[in-house]
Parts: sequence; C-alpha cells; structure tokens
Amino acid sequence: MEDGKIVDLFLGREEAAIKYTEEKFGKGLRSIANNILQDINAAEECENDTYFQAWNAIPPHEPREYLFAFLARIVRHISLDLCRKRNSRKRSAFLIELTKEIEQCIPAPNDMESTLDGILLGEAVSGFLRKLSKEKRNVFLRRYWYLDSVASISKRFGFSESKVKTMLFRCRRELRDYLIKEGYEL
Amino acid sequence: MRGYEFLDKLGWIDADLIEEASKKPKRHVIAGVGIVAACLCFVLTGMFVTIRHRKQEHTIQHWAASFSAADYFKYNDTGISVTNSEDEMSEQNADYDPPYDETRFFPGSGKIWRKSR
Repeated sequence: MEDGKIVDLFLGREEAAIKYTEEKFGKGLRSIANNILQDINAAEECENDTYFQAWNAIPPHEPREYLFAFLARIVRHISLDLCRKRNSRKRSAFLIELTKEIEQCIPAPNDMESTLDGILLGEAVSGFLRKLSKEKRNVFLRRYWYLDSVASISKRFGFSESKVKTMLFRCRRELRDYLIKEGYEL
Repeated sequence: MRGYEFLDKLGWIDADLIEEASKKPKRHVIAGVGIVAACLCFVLTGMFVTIRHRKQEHTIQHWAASFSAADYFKYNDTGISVTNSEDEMSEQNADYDPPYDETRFFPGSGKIWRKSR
C-alpha cells in the first residue's frame, strides 16, 4: 500500500493503518531499535510504542511523502531514550562507542547546557550533509542516524572497514569545522 | 552538549536524507561488472600480444617443406644473392660464413648451414 493511503487511514482513525504500517515498515523499524538496544524483545516493544505515538501524531502531522522517515525518527528517539534509562554500561557499549565518536563533532563537548534545539541542529547538520557526496552522506547517516556498525556499513557499501572509518573520521572533523564556521554554539 | 544529546538531536535531520540513506546502494553492482570487464579485456589483450609475439619469433619453424634454401634467401634480407642452380649456389656458399648464429636445415636442399666462427 502507498504511504499516502496509509496516512489517509491514520487520518480516518482506522486501525487498519497500524496493520499496513507494520507490514510495510515493521522490519525496518525493528532493525533500527535492535541496532540501538541489541535486544530483539525490547526492539519489538519500541516498535509498538512507535505505532502508538504515530497514531497520536497523525493528525496533526501528515507525512505522506516521508512516512518511513517519520516513523524511523520516532522509533530512534524511543530506543535511545530506553537505552539511556537502562543505564547499563555493558548493555549500551555500542551506544557509548557512538557517543564518543560523535562528541568529536561538538566544538565544546563538556558544556552541559544545550543552547541549540533539535530542529535547529537538524537543519544545520542537514545543510552540511547536502554539501557532501551522496556516498559520504549515506555512510554518515547509516552510522549516526541508523546507528549501524562499521562492519555492517562496509558490507552494505562494499568498502573495507578501514575506508569506512576514515570516511567517518573526516566527516566528523568537517562537521565540527562547519558548525564552528556557521556560528553554532553547542 | 554531550555526545548522547547530540546523537539524539541528529534525529531531526531532513526526512528526504533519511529516506535516501534507507535505500540500498546500487552503484557497486555496476562497478563490480566494470571491474570484471576490465580484467577480461586485460587477459584477452595479454593473450593476443603473447600469441602474436610467438608467431613472429618462430617464423623459421613454419617454413613450408616445399620451399628451398633459395626461397629463404629470397624472402629474408641476408645480403646473399639468390641463384636457381644448385651448383652455382654451392660455389657461392663454399667459403661463405652465414650471417646467423643458428643451425638451419632446409628440407630438399640437402645442406646444413652452420656458423663456422
């Protein structure tokens, strides 16, 4: 079923919307949650919470053109939040590795107060990503948005792991310089 | 801002970029085919050059049995004049030091040419 028709079902408050959403996007959403939590049962819980939040968010939102991105954003946020609540170093080792990497993009990583909200930061990073080649952009997004492992990214794009690591390192450095140049205070 | 917060806020990246990254890349299939095609071209070129080189190197081995020694000197620039008479040829070549290092045998002529140096 087309994304627009699924959104119409949500807008019409028809429960079939959940069924069709699960059929079309369930696997992808579970995969994102499982990447973060490394726990398939918890990933399924996050997936169900995502459907519930989507049910509450449509309307007012009408993501006809980007339904997957809309749902993926929700599941990603729920999964990251759950991972933080668990507060287990062992369980979130993967996440700790990722946060250490991404901290290199932040001009002042020790600042506890955020002076920039999520939407503005999203716009800034989107602007930076649009300047990169499609290949680099997708590698960056697979790592820091979909939270894929380096091994998984290298397999997906047919690169060696060292090439992926080098690409990511350069992207982080360039993003940091870009944010400083654009005057973002983080 | 801590890394975790930054990672969480990256969730607000534009939806079209997220959709684009969710699709499987196709480019590497084409690149793979290109690499295979390039390897095939390289091997075929190598084979062609080797075969051609070997043919040129062993021309003497393909000398037809029906040809005589006179034919050899006729078609190769050795500086020796060609005669039709066997006696004349024998006289001419009696004290002649052949201009090549190899021993050559021409079927039909009954002569073996050796370098005397």
